[in-house]
Amino acid sequence: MADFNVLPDGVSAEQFGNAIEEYAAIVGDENVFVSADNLASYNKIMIPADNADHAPSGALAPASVEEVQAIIGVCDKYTIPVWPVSTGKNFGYGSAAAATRGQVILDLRRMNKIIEVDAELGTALVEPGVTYQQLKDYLEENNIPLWLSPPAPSSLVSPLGNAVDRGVGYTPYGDNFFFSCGMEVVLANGEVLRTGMGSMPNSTSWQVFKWGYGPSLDGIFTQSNYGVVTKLGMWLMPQPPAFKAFVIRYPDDADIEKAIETIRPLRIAQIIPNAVVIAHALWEGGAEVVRSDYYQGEGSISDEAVERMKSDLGMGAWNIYAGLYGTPEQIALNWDIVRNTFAGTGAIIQDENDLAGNPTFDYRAKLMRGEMTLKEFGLYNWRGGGGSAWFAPVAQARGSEGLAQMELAKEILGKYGFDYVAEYIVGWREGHHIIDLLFDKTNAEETERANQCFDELLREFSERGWGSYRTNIAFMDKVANTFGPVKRDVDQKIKRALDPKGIIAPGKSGIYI
Amino acid sequence: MSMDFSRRQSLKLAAGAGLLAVMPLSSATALVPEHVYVVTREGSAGADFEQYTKESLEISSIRIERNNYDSILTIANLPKGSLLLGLVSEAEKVLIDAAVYDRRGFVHMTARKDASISGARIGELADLTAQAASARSQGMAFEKAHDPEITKASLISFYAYL
Repeated sequence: MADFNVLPDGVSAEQFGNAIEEYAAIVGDENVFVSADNLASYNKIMIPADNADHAPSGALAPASVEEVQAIIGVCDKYTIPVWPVSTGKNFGYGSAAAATRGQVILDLRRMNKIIEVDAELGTALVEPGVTYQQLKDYLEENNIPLWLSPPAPSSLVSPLGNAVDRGVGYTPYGDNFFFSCGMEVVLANGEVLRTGMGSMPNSTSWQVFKWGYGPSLDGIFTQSNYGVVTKLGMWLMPQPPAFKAFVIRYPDDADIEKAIETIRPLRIAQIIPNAVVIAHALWEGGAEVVRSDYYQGEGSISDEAVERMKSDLGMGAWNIYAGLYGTPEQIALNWDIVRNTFAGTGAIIQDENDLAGNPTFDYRAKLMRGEMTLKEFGLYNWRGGGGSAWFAPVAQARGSEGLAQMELAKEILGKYGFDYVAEYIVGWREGHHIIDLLFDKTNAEETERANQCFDELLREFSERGWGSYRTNIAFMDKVANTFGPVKRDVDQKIKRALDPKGIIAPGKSGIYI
Repeated sequence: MSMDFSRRQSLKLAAGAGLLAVMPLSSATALVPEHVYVVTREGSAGADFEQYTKESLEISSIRIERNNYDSILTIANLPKGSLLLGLVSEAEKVLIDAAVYDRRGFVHMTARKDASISGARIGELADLTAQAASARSQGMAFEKAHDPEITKASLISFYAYL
């Protein structure tokens, strides 16, 4: 009998060995992973948590929906939990690791078919293993003038995975789940559900009409564990005739209030149609330079050091990146509106004429036109040590809320000796405040301190009504608690109805049977 | 098990030359690299690491521009069985991890050092890394070397079999 490192809870080594043989009969020996070496990459996490608490029992790599169905059947037989991942690049949220120890990772990277792209309707149907880069290459090779809207890790990640986890990109189609249309889901009983119009045989409108008939189900398969999403329809943005990127810089931290108040009406009116980023200097500079070049003292970086960095790099305390899309005439008109709106607010407005060749501006401009760039990974050089946890509270797109969130975050991060490395993404009427809690994961004391800091951020923000829109695998239960007992109870009832043995991703978003 | 290879010997082993003469045929044989690649960035300690490695090994280079990491993804196209080495920044390491993970490999860190590391120490790291890769190909463990106090941004030496 094989010597397994971690067994699923309540499953004997003999039972697990039998299950592994059955999995191998489905996907082939070469796509079943149980050795410590083969599983190591599934347990490599950057968040401030003990990797052992998230260690997998195994990993499986199916290549088709039928193989996923068969795997789920074996999981049901032995009550083995499986944790689906698309490409496993959810870095600051837990990478490819599961919320609890002893799950089998259902690695869907081999399911990487672009099933259909309709150039006229601007739709695509993809499998979980398709990456943004793969889809972009396909569009370019076939001369299809449609844009994608990747998140910052861009080329590495899966459009399906990002949409199902409700991630965002930076074009006018930035809310990736909002711009999805139709899912295929393998349920815990092995059945395959197609949402929206997809349930109807011979439907031609699966990727164009979201709602189908009766209750709309797509949302319950996002950030959840009610099924394994094996296909996703996407709406893709037609390439506009013209595009203009610009940045608006404010000098002081307290200017976040002015920044949000000024941008909101333009965003809601769709003068600025894309997901606007308001990046703090430490997010901007952190991807360019290293902390120790500016500060080597104790605790959070000093204000004086931040000012020096801002001066060296020509950055504001807050840097608003936005884009205009349309015909040249539309852009010229809207550009006048934007400049007039910000005139007299103390902002500096710059565009490509001022910033030609500026790597940070180029990077942001690329993201806003749906291109791939990995520049933001430079943030991991800022402090060093490979630790990262994304804290992501949401608030109204209102200056007073932005200012209060910033002040609270700086106070808590300062108490634990960490830096305020943050940005706001103004989706439409809300602001996603993304704080990258960067720490040295090779240092046990610092890792524990980062864990406590994250816990306090979550607690204090929740008490003020600022809930997290997404969180890492170590904090899913705690975030679920912040949304109250009724929500947790309903989540659990749905789970019990659809997956009575709890075999699909127990612990995802704090949901168990 | 500890190992004590000379520099030249260890590098030859890492490259596969002579390996079959000193090790029994086993599954490790499949890991003998036909190609060795070094990830490097001009003007960095990683470029010195590349030079040291080049003294003893025939290598190809994967060049990264400063703060432009997209070229790391060429790892996806390297031949199966290749050996990848380097001395890289934290950000580069995160992306190399991701790219190697996509090849179902695993990045083995051999040391984490302060960015102010001297040239001579970089040579030692190149040796250490090649020795560790060679030990790995024979199924043996190799202890990592960490600076106890890192005051500046750190550099990471690593190897990975693809």
